[in-house]
Amino acid sequence: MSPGSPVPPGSPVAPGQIDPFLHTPARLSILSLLAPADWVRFSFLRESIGTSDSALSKQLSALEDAGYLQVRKDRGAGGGRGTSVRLTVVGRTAFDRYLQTLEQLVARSRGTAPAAPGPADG
Amino acid sequence: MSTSEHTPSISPDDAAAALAENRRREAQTVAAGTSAWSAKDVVPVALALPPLGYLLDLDLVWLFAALVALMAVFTVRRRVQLRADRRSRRRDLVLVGTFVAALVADVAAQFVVRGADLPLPNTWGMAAASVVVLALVWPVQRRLAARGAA
Repeated sequence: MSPGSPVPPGSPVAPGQIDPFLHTPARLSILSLLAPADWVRFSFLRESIGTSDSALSKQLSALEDAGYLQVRKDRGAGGGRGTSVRLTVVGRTAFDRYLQTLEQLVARSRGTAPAAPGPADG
Repeated sequence: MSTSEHTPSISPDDAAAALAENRRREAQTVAAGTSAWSAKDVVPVALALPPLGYLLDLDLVWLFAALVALMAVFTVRRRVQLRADRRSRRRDLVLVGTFVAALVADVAAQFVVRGADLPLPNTWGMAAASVVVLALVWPVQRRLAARGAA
């Protein structure tokens, strides 16, 4: 079965409910690797996750189709070619919301969840 | 971790595991984006500088320009390009400053060599720049990388 469809940007996610499209080990790894970066090379993702070209391409295509990723073909020096990937604004927003939901879940289970949305991290 | 399309919620343990995985993966990217240049990256560049200066002495400016451009591409490319923030911009500025120091060394050495009417001023200039790359640019870059990873 396909692991879900992306939640449309801006749509509410109930507390404790996770975006099923993002909540797969492969997509979590990909988005976590992309989050601190502007652009990341395909080879870095493949080696970091330890997956095959085809498996990674499949996940990237799904994320790109959902509008979460931008994929760029590079033409490197010396004739080498490569592919680079980055999170789009939509993807970053969705992933931030996904992580927030996870944090709320953990905080609630520990009894440390704020009663109202808290201030931004400083 | 569940992969079901209809997963309405997950357990706190599952959420904590996903957050831990997220932190681990993010650290991987930051490490790759800020890692220090290795000797394999820097030493060939430093060794290539005097021959490049010799090309200038031979008036092969076009070959010099082509090789420098190629070297620059190979030197600066990384598999991870981190998002620019105030800290990374400051890091880049310091690093560019060290390259400016290498350029100053090149010009100063040429000034001395030309003043003494010695041959191959560009070769000597690039040799001086090469010393600065090894003695200043590289150590500074490694220190900045260590701070970035901290």
